[in-house]
Amino acid sequence: MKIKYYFQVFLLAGILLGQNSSLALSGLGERVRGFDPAAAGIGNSQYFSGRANGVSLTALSSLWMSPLSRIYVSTSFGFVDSRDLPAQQNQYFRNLSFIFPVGKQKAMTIGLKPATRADFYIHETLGSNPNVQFGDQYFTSITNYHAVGGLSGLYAGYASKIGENLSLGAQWTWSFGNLFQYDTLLTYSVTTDPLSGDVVYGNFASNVSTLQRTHRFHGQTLALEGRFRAKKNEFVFSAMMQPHLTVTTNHRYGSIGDAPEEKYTSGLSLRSLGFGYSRVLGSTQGLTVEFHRIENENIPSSTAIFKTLSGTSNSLNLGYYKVFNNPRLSYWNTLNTRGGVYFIQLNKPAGTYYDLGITLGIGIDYIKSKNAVDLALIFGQRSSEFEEFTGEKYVSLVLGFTAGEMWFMKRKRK
Amino acid sequence: MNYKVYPITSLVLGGLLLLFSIRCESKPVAVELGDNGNNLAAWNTGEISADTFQDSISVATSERLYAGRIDEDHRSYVLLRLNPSTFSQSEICSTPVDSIQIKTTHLQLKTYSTLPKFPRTEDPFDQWTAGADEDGELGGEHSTPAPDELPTLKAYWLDLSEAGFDWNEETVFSFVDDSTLTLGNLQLNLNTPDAEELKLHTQHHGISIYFEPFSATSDGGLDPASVIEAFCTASESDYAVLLTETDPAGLVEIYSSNYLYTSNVPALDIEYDTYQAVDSTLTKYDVLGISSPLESVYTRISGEGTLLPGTVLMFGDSLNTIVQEGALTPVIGESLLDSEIVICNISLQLADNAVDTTHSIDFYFQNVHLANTDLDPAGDDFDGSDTTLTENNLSFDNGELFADCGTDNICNVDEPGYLPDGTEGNGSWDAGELFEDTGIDSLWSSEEEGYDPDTNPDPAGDDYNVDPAQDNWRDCGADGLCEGDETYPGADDGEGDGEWNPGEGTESNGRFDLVSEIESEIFQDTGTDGLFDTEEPGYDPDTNPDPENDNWSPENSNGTEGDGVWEAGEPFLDAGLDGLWSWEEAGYNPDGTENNGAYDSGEMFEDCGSDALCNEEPDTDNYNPDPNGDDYDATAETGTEGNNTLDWTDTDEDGRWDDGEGEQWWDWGTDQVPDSLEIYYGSNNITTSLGSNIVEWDYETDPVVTFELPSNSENYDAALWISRLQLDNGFIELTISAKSAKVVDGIQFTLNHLPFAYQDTVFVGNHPKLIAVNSEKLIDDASLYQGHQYAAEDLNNIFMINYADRLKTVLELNELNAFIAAHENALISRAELKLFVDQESSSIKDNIRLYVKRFTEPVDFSDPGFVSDSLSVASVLTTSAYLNIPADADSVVIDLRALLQDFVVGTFQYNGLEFETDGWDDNFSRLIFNTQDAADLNRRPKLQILYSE
Repeated sequence: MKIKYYFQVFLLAGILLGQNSSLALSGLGERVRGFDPAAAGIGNSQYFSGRANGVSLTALSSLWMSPLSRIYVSTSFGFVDSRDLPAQQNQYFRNLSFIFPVGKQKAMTIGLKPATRADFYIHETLGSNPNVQFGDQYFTSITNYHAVGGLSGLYAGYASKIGENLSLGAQWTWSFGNLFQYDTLLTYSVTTDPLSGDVVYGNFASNVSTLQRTHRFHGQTLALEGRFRAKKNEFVFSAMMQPHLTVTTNHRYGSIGDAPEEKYTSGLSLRSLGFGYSRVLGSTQGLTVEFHRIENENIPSSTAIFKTLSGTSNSLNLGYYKVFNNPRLSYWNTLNTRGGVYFIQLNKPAGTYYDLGITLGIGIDYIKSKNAVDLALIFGQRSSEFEEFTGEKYVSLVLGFTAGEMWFMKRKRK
Repeated sequence: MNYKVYPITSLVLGGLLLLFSIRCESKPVAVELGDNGNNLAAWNTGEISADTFQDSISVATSERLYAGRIDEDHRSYVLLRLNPSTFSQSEICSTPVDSIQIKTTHLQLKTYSTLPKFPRTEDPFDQWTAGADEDGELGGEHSTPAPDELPTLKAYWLDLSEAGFDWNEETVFSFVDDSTLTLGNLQLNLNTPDAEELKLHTQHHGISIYFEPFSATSDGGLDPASVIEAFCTASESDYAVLLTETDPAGLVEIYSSNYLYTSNVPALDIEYDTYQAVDSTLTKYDVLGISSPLESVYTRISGEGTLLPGTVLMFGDSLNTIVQEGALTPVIGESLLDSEIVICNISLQLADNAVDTTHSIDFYFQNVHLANTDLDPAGDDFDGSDTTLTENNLSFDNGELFADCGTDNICNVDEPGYLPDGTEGNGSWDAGELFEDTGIDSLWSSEEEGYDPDTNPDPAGDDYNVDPAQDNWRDCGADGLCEGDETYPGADDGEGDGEWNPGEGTESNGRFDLVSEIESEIFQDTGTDGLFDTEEPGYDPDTNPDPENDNWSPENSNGTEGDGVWEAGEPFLDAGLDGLWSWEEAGYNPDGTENNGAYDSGEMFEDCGSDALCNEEPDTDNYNPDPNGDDYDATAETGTEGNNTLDWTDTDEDGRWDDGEGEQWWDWGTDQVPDSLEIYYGSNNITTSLGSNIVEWDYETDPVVTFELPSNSENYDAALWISRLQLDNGFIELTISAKSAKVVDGIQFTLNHLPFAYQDTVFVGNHPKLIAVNSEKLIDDASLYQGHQYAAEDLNNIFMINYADRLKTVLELNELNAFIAAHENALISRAELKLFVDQESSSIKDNIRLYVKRFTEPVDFSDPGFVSDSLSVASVLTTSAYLNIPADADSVVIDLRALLQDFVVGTFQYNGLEFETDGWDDNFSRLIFNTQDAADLNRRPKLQILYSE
């Protein structure tokens, strides 16, 4: 108990670094999935975890499969390396949820998870932008961009088995968050040294323009998921819709102060679709395959970072898992091993980009399988429309911890 | 339900941490964002149309007034008045006429330029009058002043009470012609008005317009008082002052009442007296003199000077006698003690105060001093019986002062031969006395037990030795002997040359000493680089054992490291050939006292004094603290000097010390202070009763009255009172009596009375310069000139700014709205509106202020009526309210960055710009800019914007 206590605190306290990859430079920041590390180890799966009880903590329709009341938290540590940029580290809180049964083969969940995150500081180099003629003079500029914030979701979900083979899950998420953007435009006069011919940049001291944008978000999403299990085959289908998302933006200009507030409210839109299949091989191992499509954010491009939406993504996830049961009565019950690959295609106005990765995972169920510790390693490489991020490689370590107890269940007393 | 306690604290903590984004700063990265980032771009337009309009409102708030020629066609005149509603609130108007006397009054104006002095005489009120002499009498010898001696400025008093015309600073006046003004039902010729000319003075930057007729022969009844009264009682605009410049080419610029700094604005300078009630007092009598019935008593009473009037001094002798003889005869002597006596009579005369109808005087005393001499302030003089009184009791008392100098009554310091500082025979060594430098053991080393010259040369270890090896370098030359050394023969070669020479010591001589290959100072054979191999850069025991290649070897015979030979650059120990610093050498003893050259306590010496001569003749250094040999010796119990005991024998038994009786003592008492030095010796105030100290005398009812001794006098040493008062035909005889139980040597007191107090009304002078009353501006002023009236179409496509003719310009940036619409939320880096001055057409005197404003509401410029509407504008300048345009300006660049940013983000709507000026500078200056139709393309107005989005 004590170990679990401190381990939990350690995980939960890991909210220190959030430096992003190239994915943070568009939309509302990098899309941050609420990982179940068990599922993450199986090729970044969403629907399947390889657990003996079949529960994937990020798959709504599987939550009823355990009668335990569970508290689950996961976080990840990442390392991103690009060709021309210094290495970046990040640490994300992934998910905090409380799952509890509300009846026989029925469960509810409430939790908190991030949706997007941005935290970057980009500066342009002098000379990288073209010169502009202004009257008799020439000017050039550099802009420093600083953004931090993102979207988070507070959710409540319900899952239930509704037939011998069929189960459904639904989740309502209240989205909220802030995104702060601070742009500093430095304008330099450009002249040419008549002797050496070198370009000479004037002092920008009196030519600094700043723009601070504060976006406040609130909205809702509704996710539905259905699962069909027949013998050794399992099929999952999910969809997420967004009834609305309201973005309120305040602009503050260094030269004039606050500009009038802008507000945008989007209408109903489809956010994502997904399909998954799992085949059990023997009793202790299995194969999985999933397909997911995520749509662009339903926001005006003027609100998006660098006025660029994140783009639509299509992903294919393949995974394998094997479970080792402990035949003896012991502290630990099962050892779960996982592996997989995934491929993501990202379509943006600037082009199509790819993200390819390999996952490895391991987990232990212990104390009568009521508790679990799961760990997943993700190795990936992606391409980007920004040259500096070419060949961006990343490594993520996802940790998850589940604590379960038999709460809220009536027990027969002899 | 089975609930278990679950440590949710960590979860709550984690939840809180989740909600708050605690993060470190991101590392900045340089990324080429390309089109994804902000891109700088420029936009400009020359589609700028300008139309000038003539504002309908009056230029009421100009800071300047103009009198004289303003241009070839027009002249200006100045009209001034005291605002009646404001002036009526002043004290001048509110004071009753019979309580105020107006002396002089004038309007004081300040000019921008210097004016010639008029009048040229010193007397400010001298006036040139036709045929008047200096007394103002007609027919005198003074001639009419020459025309060039008269000022060109003229001021007139205008009586407009019949005109039926009211005006203020915002009034637009009507001209019949250039010099004829319509004021209600009057037409006024401004050059030669049918009005009283006022006296006017000019000097430097001042104009003074007096409310008096210029001509002394004028019978218009104009005077300061009547003018002020007229202004006080005037309704609306009954009266005014007109100022004209008669010089056809002259122009005077005057600070108006709207000028920012009040020191220069027109003011009403008025000098007047007003009655004011003041509290006054009158003395009821005058002091005539004093006399005393006491014999030979000096009396004096003061009427003025440093003492209060009525101060009485009384002494037993004249002051001269007291000073010369140093003695006092009592005023009240022994024979008069305890008797009521008249000490003086004071003569007074009633003051002739008509207002004083009280017929009474209240007398009282002040600062009363009755004093006698006190010859024993400490009170210790023996009275014959009281044994506690020890002064002058003819007996030595313990504690009385005596000189403990011995029976010879001569203290040591006075005894012949006294020399306490003598060095011979004083028992201690003094500088100069010979001594044996044996050390404190008083034994030479050879005398010390165990001495052996070889094995034990210093048994006591007290030999002083700071260089046992005798190798310290001393610049003494080859013989090693310096001045001061024993057997020093004198300077030899190399001595004192600052360098080491053979024969001199080798320790600390600053050089490497080498006697032979095996006898030298210790050195490190590092080579000339001063570094061993391991210290040389790049050293590696395997690959680079000798980075500097300086190790000696048969193959490297030039190597200096390890060659066993000292070369320059190699470190060495300059401790001498023995390799030992002095403190390391055996026998080093800096603390030794033997042969250290200094006297140490215990060493034998000849106590012959600093001159080292014993018993020389004359012997002036013998130590002698007690020449007479009478100092007290406590051991032997001999001697009388300093024994703390009075050694005195009263040989003549008179109880006093006499010469030859031993030690002198003084019978001053145990305070050891004679009477004459005791504090307050000679004067002592006697306690004096004054009774109630107020005598109320109604001299009309009781012209003669007497008074008794004050009732509580028995509690005092003395009493002083007025014993009699008598009035006779306006003269008062005042008798003062006293009674004292002690001798009184001097008397001082002041006789005073309560004066007659009343409230008087007097004229108090006032001389204010009024520019406002109750914070309201007092003087209204206006420049009267016939302005230009332009037809609206004549001002189209003209960019002209002028204050006097109320010309303003509307500027339309025709393409700006399109830019704003196309670049919403762009970041504006620079925005400049550049205007070029039409220098041929502009006429600027010194400077002109340019105000740039935006219309805050849409304006239909095509509607001619818009000029008469109240224009809603706001300044667009951010660093100041206006731009200062000098007369020689070629162009003006207006920073519109903040304005453009407001436009693109939608803070304001663009409705056009307006340009205007104010009346701070020359009101008639004219600033004209080129329009978009200017012939020179490069001198057309343009708007340039540098933006990013």
